[in-house]
Amino acid sequence: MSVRRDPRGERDARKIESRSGLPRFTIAPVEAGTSRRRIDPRAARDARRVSSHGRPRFGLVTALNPGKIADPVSSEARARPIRIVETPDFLVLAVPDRSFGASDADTQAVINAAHRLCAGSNGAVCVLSEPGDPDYGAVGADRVLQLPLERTTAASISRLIDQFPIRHVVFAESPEGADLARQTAARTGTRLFAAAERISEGQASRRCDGGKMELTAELPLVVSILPHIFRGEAKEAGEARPITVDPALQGAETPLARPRLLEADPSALSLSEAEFILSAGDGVTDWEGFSTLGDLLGAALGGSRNVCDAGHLPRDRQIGASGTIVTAKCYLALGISGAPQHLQGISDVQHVVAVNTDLHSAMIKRADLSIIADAQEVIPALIDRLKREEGRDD
Amino acid sequence: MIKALILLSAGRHPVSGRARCARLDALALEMALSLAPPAQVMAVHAGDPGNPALRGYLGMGLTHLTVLDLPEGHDPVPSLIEHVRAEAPDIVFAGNQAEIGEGSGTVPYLIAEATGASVARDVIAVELLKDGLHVRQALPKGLRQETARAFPAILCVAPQAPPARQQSFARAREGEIVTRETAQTPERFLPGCTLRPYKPRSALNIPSGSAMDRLRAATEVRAGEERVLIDPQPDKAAEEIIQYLTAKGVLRKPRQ
Ligand SMILES: Cc1cc2nc3c(=O)[nH]c(=O)nc-3n(C[C@H](O)[C@H](O)[C@H](O)COP(=O)(O)OP(=O)(O)OC[C@H]3O[C@@H](n4cnc5c(N)ncnc54)[C@H](O)[C@@H]3O)c2cc1C
Repeated sequence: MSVRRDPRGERDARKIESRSGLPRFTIAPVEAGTSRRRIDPRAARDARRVSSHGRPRFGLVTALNPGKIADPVSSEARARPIRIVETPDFLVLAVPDRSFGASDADTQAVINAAHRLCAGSNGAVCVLSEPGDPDYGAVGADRVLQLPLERTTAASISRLIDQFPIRHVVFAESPEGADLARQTAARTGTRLFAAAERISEGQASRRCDGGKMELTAELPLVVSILPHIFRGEAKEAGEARPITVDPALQGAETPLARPRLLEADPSALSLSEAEFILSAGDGVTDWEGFSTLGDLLGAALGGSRNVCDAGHLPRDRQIGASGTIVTAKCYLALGISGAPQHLQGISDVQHVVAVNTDLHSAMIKRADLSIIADAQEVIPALIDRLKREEGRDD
Repeated sequence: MIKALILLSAGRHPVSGRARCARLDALALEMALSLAPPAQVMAVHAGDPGNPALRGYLGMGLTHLTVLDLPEGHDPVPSLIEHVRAEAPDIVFAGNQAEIGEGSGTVPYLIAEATGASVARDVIAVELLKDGLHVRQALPKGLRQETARAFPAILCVAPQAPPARQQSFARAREGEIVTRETAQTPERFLPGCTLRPYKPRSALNIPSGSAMDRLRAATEVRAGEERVLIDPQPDKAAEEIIQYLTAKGVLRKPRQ
């Protein structure tokens, strides 16, 4: 770093004592080196320069400008308060979503909705667990009811309603949850409040009349909720105190046969349904390779707005705030910078892999696995490897 | 010959508001009419016999449609249960939910509870066996599943089922609507509800709170696990990506 002249420092060095009180300076040469060293902004900027082709890019942190980096605190380490409900007036039974492909977020949504039903009164949220389930305390369960059955049935739930002071039973409006909720409502002879979108103060709303009208009513015993609306982390952890069920009071009917899963064709899927998405941004120029790679991976194809604007992909393949909001399990992003509008569209994606030439792009920050490389080199390498492995399988 | 009963409701065009066949019920009727081997197909509607929407179903090839005469504001479930008990069909077809009214999709379950049948929702195809059926159901994310059901079964048809056939105007005119008297039970739940036009909410999860909270939620980047490979050989990069995808179970074939 070069030392620049510091005019104020030099002037201070020439200062001599004066009797009049006015500042006086000597004209005799003063020793060099008495001047203060100043930070040279140009040099500091050069030190922050990140190697890049084309437009200059600068990092935020250097030795000269250490910045303030807070210690990242993981959500586990942050101590959360544990809510304790000693003697609840009533229970709200939350039935976890066990549909195929349901995530923990869907079960969390059911528990969140159950908490809304307890709000303002002395109720406890009780989760209906099956053998082999995880601990429900962290997601906010006050009580846990363990059924001595392999699978929950409507008959067993209706017997629990007879035994315990259960005010509401909450299901997710998912394939399995919707089915069980309707069976339970029919079994208990009550009206189902299906697909609730809003819950507050004992009232709930849902769409009706083909989606044109909104119906609001007092909540009945059995409720099913739209999981994506009630997503979010639990505010407090619960104690998850187990409640014992008398096995003698639980019948042992055989549930219907388990269904058999069939394979799906990913290319025929709409983006919002896809489980695995291969997505391209401005950094991709090899479109041939991109679509071959999509076929080989068995992924649905998507892209950023720039790519759809340029006509490389149809408009319905645009991902982001003004395109499709996707809920895929995995997202492979090639040459996407990760603009906020784009990241909003993938906020529910579980695993993100990014390939980008720019180490400092927002997409790399969001990604779980980042590759700093040229997409045009990684695409053929992936194709090669997938083809080789396919050949080995045959 | 297998007896199939189909529950038909009236629908409404979402844009023009004109009475029409309910889309899901038309798909269900299509499924019933194209059963192999062919079944004896009966149809029933509980409501106004003069509803022009019902003609559309006749146009799809039904010769008769039984209408249990109920004025508006009455509960169709008791009448339907009584009718299903009297006809004792092997399979009852219905749509997943109605297009007008509450549309919660519970009617088939109430009938099942009363008649001892089992219900399958989201049905997209059926295959008749000697003493039961194989049902194919649609799941989210484009997945499909198959289950076996015994008779009597109630099948609720999903929007992904094969499209309904064209309606013939001549058949719609020829078909006969048979009106039957039925017990009249007034509807008790709906009069206690408030109805207002639905206002769509953003699919983005925008939190409530101050403007600062909302801005932060819109622009904040959720940080990932942060495994970063800088300038790897392309082949090494490909290997890492495939390993990661396999570990997360997204690649369909487990690759070694
Ligand atoms: C109102 C509004 C709504 C919007 N809605 C959306 C939306 O819904 N969806 C959306 O996507 N955008 C949306 N945008 C646009 C958004 O702001 C960005 O402009 C856009 O997402 C950028 O797309 P990109 O990442 O493909 O391109 P760029 O920002 O140009 O990024 C290209 C990236 O590729 C990298 N790269 C370059 N060459 C290579 C290479 N050879 N190999 C690997 N990487 C390379 C670069 O480093 C860069 O990070 C919206 C904008 C506005 C104003």
